[in-house]
Amino acid sequence: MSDDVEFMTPADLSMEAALELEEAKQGLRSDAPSLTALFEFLRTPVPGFSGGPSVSMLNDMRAYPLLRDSLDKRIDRKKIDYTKFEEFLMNYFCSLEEGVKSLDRKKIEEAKHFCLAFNTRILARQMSEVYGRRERSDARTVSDDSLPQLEA
Amino acid sequence: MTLYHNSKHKLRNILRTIDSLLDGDFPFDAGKRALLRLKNVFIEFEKKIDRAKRLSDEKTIEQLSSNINVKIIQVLPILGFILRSTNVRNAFELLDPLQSLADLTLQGNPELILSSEWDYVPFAYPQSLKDLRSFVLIGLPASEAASALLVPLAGHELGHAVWRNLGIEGSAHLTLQQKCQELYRNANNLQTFKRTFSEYDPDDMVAKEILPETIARSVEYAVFQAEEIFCDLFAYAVFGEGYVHAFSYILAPGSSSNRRSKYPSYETRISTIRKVAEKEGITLPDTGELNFSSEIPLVNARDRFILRMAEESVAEVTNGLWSKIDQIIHEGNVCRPKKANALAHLKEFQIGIPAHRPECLGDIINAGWKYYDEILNSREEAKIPERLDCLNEMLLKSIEVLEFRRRAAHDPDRKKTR
Repeated sequence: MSDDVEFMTPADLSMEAALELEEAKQGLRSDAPSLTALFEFLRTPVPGFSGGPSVSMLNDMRAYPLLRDSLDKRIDRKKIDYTKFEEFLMNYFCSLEEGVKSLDRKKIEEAKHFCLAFNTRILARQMSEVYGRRERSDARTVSDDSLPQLEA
Repeated sequence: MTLYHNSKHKLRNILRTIDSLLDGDFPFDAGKRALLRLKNVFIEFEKKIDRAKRLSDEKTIEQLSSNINVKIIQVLPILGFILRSTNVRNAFELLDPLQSLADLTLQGNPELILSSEWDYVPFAYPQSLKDLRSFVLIGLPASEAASALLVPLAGHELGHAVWRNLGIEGSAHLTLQQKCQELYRNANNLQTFKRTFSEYDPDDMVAKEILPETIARSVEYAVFQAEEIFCDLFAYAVFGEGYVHAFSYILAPGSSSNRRSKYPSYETRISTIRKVAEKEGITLPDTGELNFSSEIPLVNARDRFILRMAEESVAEVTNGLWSKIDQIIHEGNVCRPKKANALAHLKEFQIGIPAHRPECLGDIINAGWKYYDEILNSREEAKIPERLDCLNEMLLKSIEVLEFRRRAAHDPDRKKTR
């Protein structure tokens, strides 16, 4: 719990990356280090107990729907299989990073879309936690165990 | 009126609110430092949204506006919490032993803020507010904030900080995820899954996602439940039997709500603690003796299936959770309560004096619960409220004596409590 180390959450990183990508798109900069930091955060396992093994967000089943739904809608959903999702995302992140590095406008836009979509879903999860804590009048009659929603 | 201007105005207002709180009096500095940390969060948002404005990036302005709204929603209750931490409603005597416990069990320099909640359930912040990650915020219900007998509940809440700070969550998550995935691969369970979720179709692009989403939900519940059990066991390790009595006091009979999937059942929680206690030669009361009645089970078959998978995976990690707690307690040299000490303090309370030479917070609290029982079982019913108030005062005084003894002891290796 160091006070001095700057710590950014995935929500912070994704917003910072979105800004940097827009700046890159407008020719104001030639890199997006926060994008790299965001992908690194997602790839890196959180510390386990006594330095033991742990999970990263990429192989965290709880994060699967969040990450899947942050992807560009043009990506063929048939290619997405949860058992190979980590590998898919690693390759996807690499392609985005390469595209941004070479200032490919389409890739910059796609990376920015990912950051904003990811941020939206992170916020939605945070709000679920807030509402889950509150004593709402409908909390007793509506189960919070809603069925998985299927997107059309 | 634009999102940009509305967001800027909201930021000005929240910063003004934080500044007005900073002008107040703080008996301890941790609250002030937390406010400064939060102030910085909003200053950074201001810089970001100005940057987006210069770029004429409407999409990012919109998303930042959402971020700002969510952050204000998260932070406002914490501002109230910090304000209430200065109120004399709180039992400031509890701060030192809990801070000592945090120092012994957490890495880094944790700063404890103890306060009251205008909410019945004790709560630990910040569950999702990473901006205050070096702080431990524990809130007790406002009507019970000065009740020394309930300090074991604060022990449970401190367990949440330990769970995150020492990486227990990461390790447990890995194991629970593996167990859940194994359970879903089990032939019988898979058959039940297909029957329960009849629209699942592995060949359909959309319907195939039902399986991973359902597994994800089971994993989510499993991790939440494992965390609660960890915190129960941590509080038991520090406070012993006093924890189950405090737990019962605040929650029993527990029948007024539906079963919540993110929490283990009361039966599971109590029986898990009892099994650990039994291995230590201690017999604890069961759920019936603690006045719990059965919770209303989930009605929906799908919810029940998801929950069952979660619970079966959690059952396989509870021994591992206790081993970790044992290790943390030993490495931190945390004092565990002893029956003989509690009985000695009970004699002191019976003659109306605070504990003499207390060694451990758990001993004081356990003696308190024993005397609490004696008072309630006495024949002088009219005098019970007065005697219970007197007991609370003796407990708080005993905790002050404990603090004095800790401060007076010479131990250069021990972390300093602010």
